[in-house]
Amino acid sequence: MRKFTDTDISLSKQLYFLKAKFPQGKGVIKKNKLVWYCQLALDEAYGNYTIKILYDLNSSPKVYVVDPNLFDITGGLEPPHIYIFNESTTKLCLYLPSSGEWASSKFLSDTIVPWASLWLMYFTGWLATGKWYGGGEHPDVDESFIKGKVL
Amino acid sequence: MKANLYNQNFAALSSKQRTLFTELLEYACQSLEPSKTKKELAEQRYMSVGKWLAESDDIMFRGVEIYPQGSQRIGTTSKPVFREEFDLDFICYLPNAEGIHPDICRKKVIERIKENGNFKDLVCELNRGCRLNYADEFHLDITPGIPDQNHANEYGAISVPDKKLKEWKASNPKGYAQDFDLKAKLEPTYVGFSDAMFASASLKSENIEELPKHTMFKGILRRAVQIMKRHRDLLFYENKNYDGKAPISIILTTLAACAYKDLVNQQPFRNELEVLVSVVESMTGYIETKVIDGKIEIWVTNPKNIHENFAEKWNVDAKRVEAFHYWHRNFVEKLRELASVTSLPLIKEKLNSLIGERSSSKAIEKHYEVLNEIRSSNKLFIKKTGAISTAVTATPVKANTFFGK
Repeated sequence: MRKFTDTDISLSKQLYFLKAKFPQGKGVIKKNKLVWYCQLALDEAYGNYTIKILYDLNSSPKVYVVDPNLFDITGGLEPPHIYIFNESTTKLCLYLPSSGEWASSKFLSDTIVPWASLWLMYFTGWLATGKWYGGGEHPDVDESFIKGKVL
Repeated sequence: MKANLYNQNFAALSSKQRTLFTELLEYACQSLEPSKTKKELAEQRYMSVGKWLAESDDIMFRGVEIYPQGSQRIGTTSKPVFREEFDLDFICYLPNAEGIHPDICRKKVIERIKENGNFKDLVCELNRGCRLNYADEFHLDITPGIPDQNHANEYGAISVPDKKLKEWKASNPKGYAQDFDLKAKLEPTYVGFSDAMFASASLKSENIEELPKHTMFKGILRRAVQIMKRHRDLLFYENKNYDGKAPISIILTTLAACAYKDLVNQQPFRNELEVLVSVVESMTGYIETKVIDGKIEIWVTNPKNIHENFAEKWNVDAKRVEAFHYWHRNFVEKLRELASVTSLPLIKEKLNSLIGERSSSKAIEKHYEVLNEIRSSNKLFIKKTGAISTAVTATPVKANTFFGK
């Protein structure tokens, strides 16, 4: 378990800014866990989605698309940059772990939410042509092993 | 004034959606053109053919000049369907070949080109001239032309061999191109894009950046013609019912140019898509019927030569008339279908049937390339709604790397 540092942004502050920036969203903090549901209405061409963010200060934020069911939309074909993809769960990979792109000193509303919207835009492109235009990195066993050694 | 197609199908769309259509059609058209390097290569190639002809001792080649004609001259090239080579047309103008029989003239041009080892294996004979076939690049089609023999008495007039190579026939690719350029240069006026609009936008606290821009198409007339030709090529590809009957490019180009010229002078438009759609809708009105020697004939008149009917064959082959209208109905229908969808995957599908899978994929790809450029220069923002946009908000989209399998 990682240490609580003074740079961490508290859950209540996170929730406050999520609500301020995306007023249509709803969330609660229960037992030191933040749950946030938010509709993302992208431009018509990309569609409307509802995401769920689960977050506590001991782990990195988890982002799910809860509506529509992307598994149904793709007919089960897995899009790139996904942690979990099945009938009931779509969990997105939005940033490179340990890269500093995300840290608990950053606001979810400034990072995770815009990245989710961006992911959904690229997802739509992927649906249209089968290509992922958003770039990114795929985990590579050998590489992470080497990286592990360096660290 | 006709604007039914627009009013019934496009007018109700959001301006975002129309802008997206315009953008995608523009990108699709870009993908139908030869790349800059290919263009330069083609230029080098035809110049070297010209040089070779000019170096001949034969007096017929004295003062020879090769110049582009047709779609590449007027900027309406459209990549052929399922083939890599672009067709590029040239006139080999021979000011000193007057008095020579057209077939002999054509043969001498071919012989001279074949004398050069570099060209020898590339040359094949064509009805009116010859073709240099550069595999995977382009076909350079060369037609000999001589000074005007038909008393056309106008700028650019020349004579070219007729199909049967029996006589010299009036032609004027330079004059036609000049006329087309003048029409294409006309710019539509737009309503609603005024100070009043800016004022109301600021009242509604909309972002000025999101107001419709009318600079999206690189020349609406040229783009319209490209899209028409592309759709025609796809529609008639391996179509047995209309084999060889598809409307020729010069007919589509001429009708579109006439319609465009009149439309831009008649009325203001709301956006570029309306211009495009209106051109398509009204172009059939420029097919004329004339009474010639007591017989009713269908005419698509050459704007630079009122005695030339581009639709000559329509009068001896009704199937061609039918084919044109079949194309036009289908094109209008495809545009209508395009306006009926909003999501990108469906837009892609509709574009597939309008301009083909390859071009529509390229269009989507380019759309995301542009998005990525903005993204990498950190100029994307997220709105309260969750939509990503270039309109500045308090929340810029920070750099990220999508991770995971």
